[in-house]
Amino acid sequence: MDSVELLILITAILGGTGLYALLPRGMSGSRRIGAGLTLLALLLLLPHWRSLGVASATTIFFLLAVLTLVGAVMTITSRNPFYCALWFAVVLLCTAGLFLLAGAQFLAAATVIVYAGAILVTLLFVVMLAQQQGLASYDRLTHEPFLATWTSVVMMAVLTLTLVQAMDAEDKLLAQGSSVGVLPTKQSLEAVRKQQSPTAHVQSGDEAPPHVAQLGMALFFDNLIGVEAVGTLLLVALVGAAVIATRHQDLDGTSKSA
Amino acid sequence: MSGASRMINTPNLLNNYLILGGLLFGIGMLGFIARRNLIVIFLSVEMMLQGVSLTLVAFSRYHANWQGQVFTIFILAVAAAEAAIAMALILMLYRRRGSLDVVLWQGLRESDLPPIADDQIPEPEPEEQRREYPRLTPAGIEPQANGGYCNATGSPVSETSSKETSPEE
Repeated sequence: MDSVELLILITAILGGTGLYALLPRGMSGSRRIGAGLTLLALLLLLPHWRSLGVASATTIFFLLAVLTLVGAVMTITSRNPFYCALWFAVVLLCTAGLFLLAGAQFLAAATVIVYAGAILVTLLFVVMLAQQQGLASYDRLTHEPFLATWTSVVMMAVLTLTLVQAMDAEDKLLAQGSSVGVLPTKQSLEAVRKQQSPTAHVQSGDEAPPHVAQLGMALFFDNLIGVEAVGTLLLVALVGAAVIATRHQDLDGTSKSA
Repeated sequence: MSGASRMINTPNLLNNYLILGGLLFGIGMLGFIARRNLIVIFLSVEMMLQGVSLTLVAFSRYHANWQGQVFTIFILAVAAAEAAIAMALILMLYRRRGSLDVVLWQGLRESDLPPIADDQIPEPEPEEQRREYPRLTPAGIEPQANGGYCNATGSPVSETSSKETSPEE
């Protein structure tokens, strides 16, 4: 077995055992062991992430990525659903930071505004409306913890292994001096960008429009049907949610929910 | 996109973001399968969508076009619509059974699967049982149930007499 495969196997076994111990199964002592094992697996995952070339970007990426994964694990393993929602807010903020790092400024703002600001708050309202007093028994139980952990960890391990092997193959090809590796190089990217730019036929000057303007142009010039379909979908969802959630009063005063 | 000497190594960024997005998707899948609270199941679905959004944005940056970000905007809108419907449905299900447990609805499972039965429910941990909600010290005039209020000495004052006394003050 290759060293990369062995490393990923060890990471998967450690992470899987840690996640299995962290899931709410009613034993409080195993939570610390689970946390330690999961953190160890996270440390073993770090070598797979490569440097981004710019030191500040690499530092920010590592911080945000570690915080995202910690928040994600805490989301699914918290016993109080309120805490799950709050940890998910951490995940959303870190994802917004990662969007910023990748140059998607509008998406970073939209994630914070729509996801963390609207969807999460609606979810918290529902948690407060529908939660029993104190902790419920179903929050302390997990459905098939071993099978669920095994399935998810196998999938994560296979995904990571495929990606790491693809990058290693590309490195080997580039090291052998071939001009075209598995992934295209930076020079051809410029050519691709000029060719595929959706606004190339619009702008003639050297100064590029701002980011949101370019995104808007791409959205409404190239994906107009999708935009209209999504708008219709939102309208239908609005009407549907209003119909589903209201109690209907019959004429004789008895209330009937849909 | 300016300053060529300090450009981010885009293939490495793609690699990093893809691994991170895959891990986020896997953790979301674990939460979706394993947890029994409807709210946490929905949160795991949203986490899977966030993982996919990360990979889309990474590909958009890598190929230097806008398609990935446009599709992420679509995912955002669809997630908002899904959240509205899911919250409405969860509220309806809660009204039917009084609980957010998904196991109560296990009549919807496949017919050849055994039913899920809780043979032992774990006891809540001591620090969770001691949770009390905060109590505020009473301040000011305490309102009565019928709309009047008590005056400073604690004896109840009805609304009509209060209206007569207020112009005299």
